[in-house]
Amino acid sequence: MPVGLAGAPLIDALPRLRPRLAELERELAEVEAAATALRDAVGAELVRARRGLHDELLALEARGVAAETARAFVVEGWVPARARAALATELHARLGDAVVVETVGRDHWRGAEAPVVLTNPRVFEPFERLTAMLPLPRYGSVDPTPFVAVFFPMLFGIIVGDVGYGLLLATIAAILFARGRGRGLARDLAKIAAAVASYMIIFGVLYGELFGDLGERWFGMRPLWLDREDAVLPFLGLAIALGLVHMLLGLVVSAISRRGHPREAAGRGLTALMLLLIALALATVFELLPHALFTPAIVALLVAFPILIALEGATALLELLTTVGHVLSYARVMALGTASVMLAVVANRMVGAFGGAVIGVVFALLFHLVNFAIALFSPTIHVLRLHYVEFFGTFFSPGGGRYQPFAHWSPGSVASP
Amino acid sequence: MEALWIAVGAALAITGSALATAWAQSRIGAAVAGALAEKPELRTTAVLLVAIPETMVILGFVVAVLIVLRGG
Repeated sequence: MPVGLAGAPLIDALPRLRPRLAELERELAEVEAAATALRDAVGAELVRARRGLHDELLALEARGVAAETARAFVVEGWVPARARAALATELHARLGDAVVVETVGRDHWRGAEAPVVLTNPRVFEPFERLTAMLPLPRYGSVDPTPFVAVFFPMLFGIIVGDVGYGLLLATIAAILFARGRGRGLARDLAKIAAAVASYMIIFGVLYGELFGDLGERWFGMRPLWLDREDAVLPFLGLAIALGLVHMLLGLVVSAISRRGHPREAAGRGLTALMLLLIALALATVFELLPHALFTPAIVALLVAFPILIALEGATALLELLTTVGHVLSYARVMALGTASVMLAVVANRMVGAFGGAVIGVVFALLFHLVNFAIALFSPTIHVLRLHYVEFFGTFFSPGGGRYQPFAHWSPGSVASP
Repeated sequence: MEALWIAVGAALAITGSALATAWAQSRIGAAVAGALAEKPELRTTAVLLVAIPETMVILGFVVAVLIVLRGG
């Protein structure tokens, strides 16, 4: 309580405080108006000044690291290989033959300190955001973005596979794209969402799902490939098989990226081979493949194992077990997928479960909305995790510093009038 | 009677793994919240760390499904 009202009971104090409240609101509006006026008057000037000072500072810092005599100077810096020619042309155009542009021999700097730029075809570019959520790959190592661009939407679609939810997400993507005027983070998110939505629709058609079993009840949609409501075990098999393919791909990429070190490359390749052999042996046990293949697979495993130990040491056993565990981890694709379709079916059942039809429909719509939210959030986390932990674990080497060009400083968050 | 034990077995499979995941996530969640207060740039790593023990409950779910489908 303000001074003077400290002892008064609430019922007396309230009427005396009310006029003060209205006064406060007016004062606040006055202050805000003054702030806006000030911004309009000198804001542009201040932003310009700040930009100019920052540029000055950058130039001073650059001078500090440049070598300089009375008549000559040497400036060293990083530039992406594809921009080098443009830089040289520009410098010669502005300064004539007084400057010489030279590329420092790659052998001298190849390695730790080189900054990293991710370069991908335009279709894959939005997915660089997903790669960049982790530390960037080290210079000269593999950029996983193309693999993310292919597998992220596909795994998402396999999990949520539903025409109805796919169309909803496509609508959201379109709105996001229009709102973001096709620029920046909103554009990239919209593109990723669009890719995910198309895979959702494709797999929705394959599973015969439109808002759960509504498609079947209303339009007589039939699963073209897999009925997820009944075929839980085949779906599990599909998920594990996907994991196998993904991990094998990762190991092969790893082997190829280490071709400079034959021993490591051979170790990675052999791990891939052993993973395949284990899968083969298990497939014969579950009678997916003829039993005659079991013995050769086991014999080949027994032969390959000592070689792997010789190549990579005793930790290879641990790594192989981890890799097998990683393949099993893809079972989450089936778990999330089954949960998603079951929740949708439960939502549809609500229409008949409550007394009145209207209440039932309202509840069903609410439940579908909740399920849609879950179907966006939870697969995002899990598919990203499958990439970051399982897939990247096979070949990814983080530690690259982001390339920051020497350029005009611009205030990112300062509101410009 | 057998149907009962199948149901109980499946329930145990998911209960145990769910409790294990919950316990692991509670410990990781608390630790990660502390780390994020000091270094907000670790947020991706934080989400990953919290998501890691979910493998347990997912495998528990798979085992429960197998018990129900194979045992029934």
